[in-house]
Amino acid sequence: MVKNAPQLSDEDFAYGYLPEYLDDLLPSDQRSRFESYLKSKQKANVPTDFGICRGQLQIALQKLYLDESKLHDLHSLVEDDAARANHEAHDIEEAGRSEILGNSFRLFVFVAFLACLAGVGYYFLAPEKKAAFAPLETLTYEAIVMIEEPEERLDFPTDNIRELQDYFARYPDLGFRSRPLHSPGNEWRLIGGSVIDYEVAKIIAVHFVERQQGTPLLFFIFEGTMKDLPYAEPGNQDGLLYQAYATDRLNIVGWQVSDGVMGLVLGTQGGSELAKIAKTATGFQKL
Amino acid sequence: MGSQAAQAYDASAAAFFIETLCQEADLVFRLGYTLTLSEVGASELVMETYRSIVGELPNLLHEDNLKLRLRLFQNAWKLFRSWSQEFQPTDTPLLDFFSTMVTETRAVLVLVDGLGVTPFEVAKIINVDEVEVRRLLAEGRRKMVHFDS
Repeated sequence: MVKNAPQLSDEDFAYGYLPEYLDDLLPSDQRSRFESYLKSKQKANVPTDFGICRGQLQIALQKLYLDESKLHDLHSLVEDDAARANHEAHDIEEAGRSEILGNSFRLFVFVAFLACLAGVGYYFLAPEKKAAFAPLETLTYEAIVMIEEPEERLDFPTDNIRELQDYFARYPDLGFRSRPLHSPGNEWRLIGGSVIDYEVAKIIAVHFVERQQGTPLLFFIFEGTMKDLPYAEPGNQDGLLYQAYATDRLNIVGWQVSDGVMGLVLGTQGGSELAKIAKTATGFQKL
Repeated sequence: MGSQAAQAYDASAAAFFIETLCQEADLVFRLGYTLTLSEVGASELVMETYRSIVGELPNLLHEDNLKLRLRLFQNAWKLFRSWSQEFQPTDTPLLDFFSTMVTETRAVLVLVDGLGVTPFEVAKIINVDEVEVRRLLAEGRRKMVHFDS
């Protein structure tokens, strides 16, 4: 996999093996070399930025395709129009001989009728729908419980953010993909994380405490949009658009981490300070 | 370019060409745009690539799809290198970015990060060693990550 790595400069190695790093395919010594280079050059965001740019490249390439007339020219290399017309006429004749289409259509109508009947029955007889997930209320309560009983609520206690990223990356059926959470700064000590499995949603939860004072800082990442939060006057922290809320114990900031993925961060800091922490830890969606 | 008189192929070879080989035409077109920066040039390269392979149809019938795709890319690359004509660039969202790189760099970047070819296979397509492919990849990715659109 990395047999050519020794012949490359550190910079060429780092950029040349970005997908292998992202897919966790580098041996530990090469992974250390990779991470040392990023750290020394202060390029910690390069792997994430590369993942985004590669996706944009692939989307842009998909908009390039051969038009129909050129495709017709290609087909003409092996089959002229007359031969193609004969084949098509033959196919149509074959289709005409069977009544499969007609029978299929009649069957389809009958099945559709039964489906409508079942749908109407379900509408009137089905049990009441479960309440929709209300992230602000639910996760504020969850945060308070996590602060009071951290040992009880952490499925994966660790002080290593990399281990926690791997734990979330390997979690089965999370239901959404989010950019990895990074440390919000040296003053914060990681104590662990969990995936909270509500019936209606799965939530990534990460718990930090401030090294000197021990004050808590909790992140929740989950599938959703800003519309899932009650309206609040939007704030702007260096491009990160957020909405802030407060309870008697915690302040809360919500923001859009990426398409369809929301973040909430709860702590004792003010709204703009929490927004700054959110930006450091997860970045934000480029609009 | 236009169509030309079809040669005589049996029905199974013609069906294989149309239903299997031509499924790869959009990928060859994307490589063609990467090389020529022109949709006209890309179309012409697709046509010439398929023309170069059509004579070998009977031998290709049992090749797997991945080998066929790499063969098409390899032929497209060789044909492009043998060309002397230039094409008017076609403005697409990729043109400005591609214009910052030399042909080899953008070809390697698109083949690996855009079309899913491995660096090992790219080395065979463009006939350089794998270390050089990694260097070109690194150069292309550096530009991509830091490109300000």
